[in-house]
Amino acid sequence: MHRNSAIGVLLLATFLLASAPKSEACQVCVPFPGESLADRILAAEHLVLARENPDQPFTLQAIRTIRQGDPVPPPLELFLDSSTRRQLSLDEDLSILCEWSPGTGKWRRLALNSRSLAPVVEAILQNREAWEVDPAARVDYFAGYLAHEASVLSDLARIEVYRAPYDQLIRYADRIPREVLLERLANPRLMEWHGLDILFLARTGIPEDQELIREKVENDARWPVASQRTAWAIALIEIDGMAGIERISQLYLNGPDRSPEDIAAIREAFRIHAEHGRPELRDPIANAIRPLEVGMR
Amino acid sequence: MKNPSALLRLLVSLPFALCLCGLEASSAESGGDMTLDPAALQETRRLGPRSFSPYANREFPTRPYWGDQHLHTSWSFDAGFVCTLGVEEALRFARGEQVNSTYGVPARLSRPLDWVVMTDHSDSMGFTSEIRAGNEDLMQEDLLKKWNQVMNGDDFDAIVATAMDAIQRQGNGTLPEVAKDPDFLQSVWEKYTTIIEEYNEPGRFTAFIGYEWTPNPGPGNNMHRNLVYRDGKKVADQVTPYTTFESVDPEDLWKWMANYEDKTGGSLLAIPHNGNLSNGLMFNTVETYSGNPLTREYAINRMKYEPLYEVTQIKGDSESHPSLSPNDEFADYELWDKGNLNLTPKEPGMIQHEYAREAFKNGLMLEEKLGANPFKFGLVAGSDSHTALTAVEEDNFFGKHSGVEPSPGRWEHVTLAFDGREILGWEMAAAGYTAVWATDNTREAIWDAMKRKEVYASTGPRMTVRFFGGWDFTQGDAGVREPGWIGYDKGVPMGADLEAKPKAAKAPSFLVAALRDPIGANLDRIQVIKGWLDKDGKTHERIYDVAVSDGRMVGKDGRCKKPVGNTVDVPNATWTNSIGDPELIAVWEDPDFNSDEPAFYYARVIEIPTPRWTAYEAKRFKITMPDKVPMITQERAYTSPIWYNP
Repeated sequence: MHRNSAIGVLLLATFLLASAPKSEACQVCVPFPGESLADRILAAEHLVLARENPDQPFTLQAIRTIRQGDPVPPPLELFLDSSTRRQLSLDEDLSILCEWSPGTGKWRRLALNSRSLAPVVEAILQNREAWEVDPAARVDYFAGYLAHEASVLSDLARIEVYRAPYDQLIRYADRIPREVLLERLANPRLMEWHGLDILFLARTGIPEDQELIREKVENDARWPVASQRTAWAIALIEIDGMAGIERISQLYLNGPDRSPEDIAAIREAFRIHAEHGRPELRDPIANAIRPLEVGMR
Repeated sequence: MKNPSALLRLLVSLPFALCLCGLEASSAESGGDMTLDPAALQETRRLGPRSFSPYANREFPTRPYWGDQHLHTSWSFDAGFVCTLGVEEALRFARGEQVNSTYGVPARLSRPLDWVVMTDHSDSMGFTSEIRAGNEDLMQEDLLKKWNQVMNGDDFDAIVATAMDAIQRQGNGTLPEVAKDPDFLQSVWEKYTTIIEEYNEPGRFTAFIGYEWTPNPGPGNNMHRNLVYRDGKKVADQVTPYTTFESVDPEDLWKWMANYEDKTGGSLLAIPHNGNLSNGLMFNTVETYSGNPLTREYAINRMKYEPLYEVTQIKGDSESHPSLSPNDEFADYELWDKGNLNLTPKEPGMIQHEYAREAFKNGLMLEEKLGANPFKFGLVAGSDSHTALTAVEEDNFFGKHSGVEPSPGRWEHVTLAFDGREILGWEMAAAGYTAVWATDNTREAIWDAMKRKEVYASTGPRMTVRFFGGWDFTQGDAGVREPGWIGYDKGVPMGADLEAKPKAAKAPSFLVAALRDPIGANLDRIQVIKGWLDKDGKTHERIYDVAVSDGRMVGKDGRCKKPVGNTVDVPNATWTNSIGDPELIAVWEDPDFNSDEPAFYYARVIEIPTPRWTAYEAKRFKITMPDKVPMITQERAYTSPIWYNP
């Protein structure tokens, strides 16, 4: 982990105290959203592309409707910030994807619509029904964008793929170059996004990566807080199998008292391997987890 | 004496020496060649209080004192997990010493500052730095002992995770109780004021005791205030700083300030900042924070306790917004207008309650309604740096916090992100410093000047700006070399009210002068920005170019349409002073004055284009940034207004 970027993350906080949002995740790092852009597009009743209203600067006007639902929404009324305004003025092909839904009753901006995003938005709308019956196909579609240079697309892909069952997810492990994985893992600002990188790192087969995973599991066990405890535990089981299960059990289940949050994180790692991992590990995992089940009663 | 020039010097200096040293003696013992003509002496004395020397007997402020009224260190809760520089390092850096940044990068100001206000957050002040230091009381808590181990270790993932945990705990109120314990805060406060006191050197470098009170209702609506003490440690220590654990309502803060002043006999002022991130709350024209209608008492109290506003800093400029001032081509400057601190997006109608110029206008309207103006503030600047380094010059910008200290990638780091919206590193503004027209470099003199609003804000350059308003300035006054004498003789300085209009006067006139930063860029123009309230209760604004460089012409509409030009060499991050002027001065009379309409006037001084910090960064790190990243800036200064009251 680079000291610079680590410190960066932390102090980024500058805003923190300052901003310390009372109800949001954090502003030290880039939050990992619960919803993907695709979720929002699919949930929207109305979707339009918008640019600056020349008659009313710093506001948006719709230039194209791409989904017209029911009921008819109120006129688009959104503020256009100066930074986005500058970007729009530099590129005539850029627009802003906006949505309206009766639930909120408000228009909101979804994304900057570029040449690369536009076909994906279309695909999302076209595949709505097909993906409802075949969720794996949806994951497979977005996996194609995991390494895309446009962050709006690679981020979208990461959120979608990370939701997939473990045995499907790891099939895409080679879609992101190892250097990118390591670079991202060295950036603590992306800490909330590291889950997929960790799981993919466990699939490189490279001894240095495996050593890093073992080290991280050991380190995390020393501290009261770790942001990706589950992912590192899954990765350790992935690379070390039975030995990994035993080590995690030693660290968390047979050692000093652990917080309920720590135990829940480890339990989740075991569950994922039990349900979607290698069959030969299922019994050992069941044995390891049994004391927890007893404890739960 | 063989050296002819030395001889010449002696000849020339002798009469002056005699004149200065021997005036009294000469009348008593006149004789021979040493006698001075009594009539000539009489004539010299007749010059009056200014005597022969134009600098004798001056009682007005003669130079601006430069400083930063907004600086954080590792003593701030949000900085202390990573920033390793504390109050001492911050003070040493501000007074001109070289220090190493948290990353170990040697850092120094181009020139020392004259003063600084230490404004670490009062909420949990010193909590993280004391954990790092292993404070014995704090180490009784198992959790804090673990944090201490993490903070002093080298597992940066763990440090980050711990910081995130701490921030969440602060947000949801699950920090260990000691973090909110007034006794703990008082003990930290006394350490804090001790350090500041040690660095305060009257006459040389003024270290102000202060802190930031940091409410974020909403969440994320910036309602922060910097508290500045006129007092020293002995007085400041008598009352524990106010925190948001007690209240997030500014009126409660004012009550606390009143109590402090009553109890100690001391003096405090508060400086709000970042209205641009308040999502419409900072200059609400309808109701108070608690939802009551604005009243005359509210307006009076607000101006009693909050005579200043921080108009520019790293998180954006809040002077004006182009959506409010569409005819102001300089208004689109370093704006942060996407949302609040939580990036909750702006809604239409919020902007007009966030920017200083609009607040000045609304203040006139409210004065008409309430009988007092709640927005009659002066303008100052600050860095709000959380690195302990008040380093906001374009070529010496150490960033908002240690996470964005100089590095090849900081320009593209996500600085704030939420719900698909983000602010990237390049959007940080390298700003700003405050100039104070004080009579001396002491806490008392500088604080008093702040209180009377004789201050101006700069986005970084240390340009000297005078701004006086009166009723009888003449064009000839712009030809003098001593605008201070003329200005104070014939008018009032920035921050004041115009004196009552003489019957014979047609319109107010203003003497405005600007001298470029000695190591900075030439000046493009001086503008006077006027706002007024018409008889129908509507507010208006107008910009006048009153002094422009390079012999350009000002049209009948009061504007100079011709740009000053641009000499910036972006790849090499440099420019030349071959355009613009090093100094500008003018007397300007309001051509549109209506004596029935209340008005305000302030000056804005614009520099010629220079490289933005991003250009220096691109050159130093040999990186290319996309077109959306500005590489050129036009820095500026904003004076406090002068108000006209019919």
